[in-house]
Amino acid sequence: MVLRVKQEAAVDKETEMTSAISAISVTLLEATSVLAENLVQSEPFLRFQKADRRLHADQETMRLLTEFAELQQKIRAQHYTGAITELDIKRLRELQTTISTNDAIQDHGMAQELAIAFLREVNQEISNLLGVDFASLTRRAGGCC
Amino acid sequence: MSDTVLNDLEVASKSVVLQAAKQFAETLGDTPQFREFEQSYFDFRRDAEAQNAIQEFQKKQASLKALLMLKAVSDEDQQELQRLQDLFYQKPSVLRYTKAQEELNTISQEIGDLLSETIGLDYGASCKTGGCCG
Repeated sequence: MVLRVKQEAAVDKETEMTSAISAISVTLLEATSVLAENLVQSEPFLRFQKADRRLHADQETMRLLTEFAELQQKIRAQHYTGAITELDIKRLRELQTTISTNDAIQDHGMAQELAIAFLREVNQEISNLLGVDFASLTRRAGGCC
Repeated sequence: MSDTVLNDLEVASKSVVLQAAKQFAETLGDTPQFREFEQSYFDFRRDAEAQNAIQEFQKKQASLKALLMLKAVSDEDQQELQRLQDLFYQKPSVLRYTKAQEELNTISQEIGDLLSETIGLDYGASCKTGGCCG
């Protein structure tokens, strides 16, 4: 009987530890969820979602972006071997011109910039109240820093 | 979706979003992890031994700055620098603060992931300003 009690205590202890590992309380989860939902429903984010849908629905534009990204990667790799072809450079310039005048891409870029600017304001509000930059706490180690 | 449709949807005004941000900050500020982070930082700042230890380390590091940049520090100096750093990190108030910081980082990263997933942008990366480490 005593052993059973001890076992139960051990299970309780384990549960405590498990919940300590994923230590976000229900209240904090709720506050996070309310913040996320409000952000998504804000004007800058609604515009961003609209621009994102428009961009992804445009197959020709998506094809251009994929080609541009692949060509950039190819040229970057060739940079080290010195094997860049004039044809690739010419095509890259053509794509750059097309992208810079493409409505869906420009609209997407602008909408994303506005959404990011708004997100920074929101982060500033949070950080001012906490006395520490909240966004920097959310970043994982790695990358350039 | 036209702008008219956009206006007809339930749009969260800026003040509503900022109110949600305030509520979120207050809730996070009330968590045991955040309180421990604040308290341990306060105690660390008041810990004379820990402050001396960091000053000793920083003094040595500053004296070797040019050599460190050139990666030309002697083994002896390198060992001394390491010894001073270890001394600092072994101070109880530093250990406590480091642990509190890690725990706050863990929950903040989880929150950041939740926010990023919902809004379709990387929260931490989007809020960086200037340079890659801004």
